Formats: sequence, C-alpha cells, structure tokens
Amino acid sequence: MKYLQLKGIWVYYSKQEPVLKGLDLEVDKGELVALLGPSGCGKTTTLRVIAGFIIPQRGNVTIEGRDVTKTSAHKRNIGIVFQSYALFPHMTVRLNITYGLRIRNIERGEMENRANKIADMLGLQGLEDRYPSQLSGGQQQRVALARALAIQPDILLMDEPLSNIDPKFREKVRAEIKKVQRELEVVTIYVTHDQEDALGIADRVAVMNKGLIEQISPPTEIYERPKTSFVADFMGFENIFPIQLVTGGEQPSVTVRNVALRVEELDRDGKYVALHPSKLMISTEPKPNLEEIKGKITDKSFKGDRVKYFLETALGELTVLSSAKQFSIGDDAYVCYAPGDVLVLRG
Amino acid sequence: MRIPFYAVSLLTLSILLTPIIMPLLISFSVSETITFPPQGFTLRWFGNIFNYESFAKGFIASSSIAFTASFLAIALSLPASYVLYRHKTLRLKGLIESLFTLPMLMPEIVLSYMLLLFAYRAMGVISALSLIIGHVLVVMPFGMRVIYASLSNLGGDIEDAAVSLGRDRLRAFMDVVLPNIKQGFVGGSLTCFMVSFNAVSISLFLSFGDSMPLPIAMLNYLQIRYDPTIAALSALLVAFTVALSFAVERTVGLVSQVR
Repeated sequence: MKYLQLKGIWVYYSKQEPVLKGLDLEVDKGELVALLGPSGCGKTTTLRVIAGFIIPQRGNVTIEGRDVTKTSAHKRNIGIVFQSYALFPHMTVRLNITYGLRIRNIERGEMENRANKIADMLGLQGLEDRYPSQLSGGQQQRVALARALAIQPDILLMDEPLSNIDPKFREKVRAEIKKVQRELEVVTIYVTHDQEDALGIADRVAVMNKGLIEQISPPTEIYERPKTSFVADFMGFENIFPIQLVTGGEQPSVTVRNVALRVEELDRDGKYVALHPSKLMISTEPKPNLEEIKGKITDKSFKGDRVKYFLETALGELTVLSSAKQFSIGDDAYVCYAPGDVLVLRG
Repeated sequence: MRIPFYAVSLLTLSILLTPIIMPLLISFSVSETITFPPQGFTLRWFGNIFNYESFAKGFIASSSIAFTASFLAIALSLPASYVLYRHKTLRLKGLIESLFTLPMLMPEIVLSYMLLLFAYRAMGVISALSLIIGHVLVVMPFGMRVIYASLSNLGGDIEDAAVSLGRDRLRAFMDVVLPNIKQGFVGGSLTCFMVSFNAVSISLFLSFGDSMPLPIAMLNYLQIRYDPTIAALSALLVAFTVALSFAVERTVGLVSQVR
C-alpha cells in the first residue's frame, strides 16, 4: 500500500478549464516527490488538495489507507512551508515553532524538548527570541520549515521554498532541506518550476502539464529518457521535431522534413524526435561511427565552459552545446550524433 | 540645494496650516466680532462655549453617533473585506469592491437627500435609526478601505499556515490575522469616527428634535451670533483631533515599532 495516494482528482472553478483533470499520484513512505511544471499547470492546486484547502469535485486522497478527501485541513496533520514562509509576524521564533504544539496541548517539557531539537537541527539556536522581521530570508525559511516539522507531520508540503532565496545559496539550502527530510523520513511533496531544483532534491520528479502528471520518474531517468515532447522540452531538449515517417529494416530511421535520422530502436508509434544539445557534437568534418547533419552556424552564445551554437540545417534550427569554442557565425559545420542519443517520443 | 527645498516646504505648510491656525488666534481675541488680526487676549470665548448648552449636547450627540456609526461600519467592513480577501477568484469581484466604495464618490448632499426621502417613505419618520444608517453609509467606505488594505497586505498564507498547524478557520483568524491587522482596525475606526463627526449634510438632513449634532449646533449659533465662540470651539476640536491621533499613534504605533 502506498503512503499517500491521489486518485482521479478533478478540480474546476465554475465554467473555466479544469485545473486538475483526473490526476493520479502515489508516494511511498519516506519519499520526496517534486512536482515540476510551468505556472498554471496545477501543481500548487495539487498541493492545496493534499493540504485540504481545496476539496476536489471528484477523486479521493488517502493517507496510509485512510480516506481524507473530506477531512478538514486542520485535522490532517500536514506541515506546509509556504512560498512566502507565512511566519506569524507578531510571534517570536520560539512561539512560531511551538504554535502547532501548543494547539495540541503538548506538555511543557516535551514541547521545549521538541522545539529545541528542531531548532538545533536547522541551526536556529540563539534566534528563538527574535521576531520574523529581524531575520534574514534564509533564517525565515528555516523557521518556516521548523514550524512545519515541529508537529511531526504525516506529510510535508513545500511550495517553491527556494524562490525567495538568493541563487548563490540555493544549492546549500536545498541540500539542507534534503538532509533534514532524510533524517526525519517525512513524506514530502515539493512544488517547483525550476528543473534544476527538482532534479537536485527529489527521489522522483513528476512533470505536470495542464492538470495532469505527464511523467513521474527518478531524476536521472526523467532527464535522460523523457517520454513526451513536453517533458523533453522541460528537461532542456531544445531540438524537438515532429516525425513524418518511421522506417524499419537493418538501419531503422525516422524522417523529419525529408531528412532521415538514424535511431537505435524502432518505435512505430513515435510522434516526435528529440535531441539534447549537449549530446550533439559540432565538427568541421564527419566523424567515424557517428551520423551527421550538415549546417551553417547562425548564432552562438557563450556559456562559460561551453558554447551554445545555433545552426541552420535541413532539419530546421539545431542547438548544440559544445566545449569547442573555435567556431564562428557563418561557418559551415557538421552536427554529429550517435543513433542511441536520438530520442523517439510518443506524445 | 537645501534652502529652496526648505523654503518650498515651509510655504506649503503655512498655506495648509493657516486655516487651522487663524481660528486659534481669533479665539483669544478680545473683539466681540470675528476680526483678524486678533486684538488683546482673553479666555472668555472658551468659557462661553460651556454657557451654550447646545454645544455640550451636540458634542455628546456627535460623539455617540460617530462612535456607533464607526463601530457598525467596522463590524460590517470586516466580514465584507474578509470575503474579498479570501476569495481571489470570486466572480464580479471588481464590481463588488467598487460597490463598497461607491458612497465615497456620491456627493454627500445627494446621498443625504435620498436618505431623507427613504427615511420618510420606508420608516415614516426620521429617527435615531435613520441618522445612524446615514452615517454608517457615509463612513463605511473609509473603514472598508483601510481594513481591506491591511488584510491584503498581510496575505492569506498566514491563516492557512495556522490552519495547517491544527487551528480551525475561526480561531486561526483570531490567533494570527486579527493581531496583525490591529493597526488597520484602529486606523479605520478613527477615520470613520472623524468622517462621521464631520458629516454635516447627513446630520443636517437627518437630525431631529433634541439630537442636534455639534456641526449643526455650530451652524445654528453662527446664524444668530458672530463672535469668536465658534473659533474657540474650533480650536478645541482641533486639539481633540490631535489628541485622538496622538493617542492612537502611541498605542498602535508603538506596538508596530516593537516588531
């Protein structure tokens, strides 16, 4: 039995397009699942359904087999870290952290114990008597996390927790969150629109599009083997083309704009073909064991250790991320690829 | 650079303050009529205020009306603002919002006349009730604005946070929303009180019998006599307003600085 289950969740407001269209999600004990998607895809709505702030028109939510679809939010024992942190401005750090414990009438000694433990874990010692407005953004975020974890929640929900953190510190904070989550083994749903954020923290990443999960897989798998063109696009496959024709035989290939691209495995239902810019090579002449497409460099942008080239080819515009820096705009060049890196997608 | 800046500031301030300072000076004048510049010094006119019974009665009437009207206006504004603040996707939200602030745009005299008609038609007679209703209508947009603004500034997340931590909606609101809109509350109430206190035309149209609000009493007095008593009373009212604002600043303002 899965720890958290969402089955066929529908949410719609009056006559508008439904926000969630029969969403399914299953999460194991101790797992951290990231919901990744563009704004308006329904990821925050999914979070609010789990929290109990939105009752879905159809479908149900179960936690450890208990159906909680109609359970009020305040009875669900779910910790939430809001994007705005939502700390209580009129309470000190200590009062913020112990708020949920005071509601539960936990005995004083036990309460202080728990609060101290969580404050230690998140490095909040010495800040207990400050007010939220006297803290830095990172500290506020840790207080928000401490407050949510103090109630020993069945599920932890995080809504874009890093969006207000300075990009320089994001990686560090992400590692901190991951560490605490592992230590407490709390089931966590982590909402983000940042691909790097999701891949960096999650056990599994669920990419959402228009009210449904398009694919849910471990980070390496979803990055290397996206199943749909939408997921591929989100994972940075900048070269995605519709397939005209699939050809079998000794050397299977797919045809795009009358150009045949060699593939490793044949998929008769393939609709799109995707090439990741970093899997392509740029070269002055064809390379042995690799396939090639001829093109002309139309633009380039410097990315530090690598250069992004834009080439005009028979396929259309191709983007190549390469460590070779010697090419200039206007040069003729070959884009080389291994058939195994040509990804055929069904949707 | 600095000197022209101060000069302009001083000029602007003096233009703004002259109408307030003039009656202050006149109120100490010995002259039997309102003259400027004032002559001599006397406290006679201040004493005179208390000889004229209508002023004390008017002050009590105005204060009670203003107090009741602000209380009702705030009590109505709170749930109305709350609904608008919680339901971001409410249909016709813009229309509802402007509906609540509409009385502010309506000329007060028109509103007063319509209320007078309404009071006669619907209630048969003008009474304390119609007077209060009129005042509530006039002051509510001000209360609504302040309270809605403080709720919007606060954002909805902190209430949801309290709910997720185990409080039901109502108590979450009491615990974490109310304490943080306290300033809006006091500010809104004070604004309502002042607006009601000064709502001359509503009072003029809807006052009755003994319940003569202070501004009406002052107008009546001016029609009979033209001495500095009114100036002295105005000076007292200015002091009253300043004291009230100061008290609010001390109680609510200080709290905000602690945070």
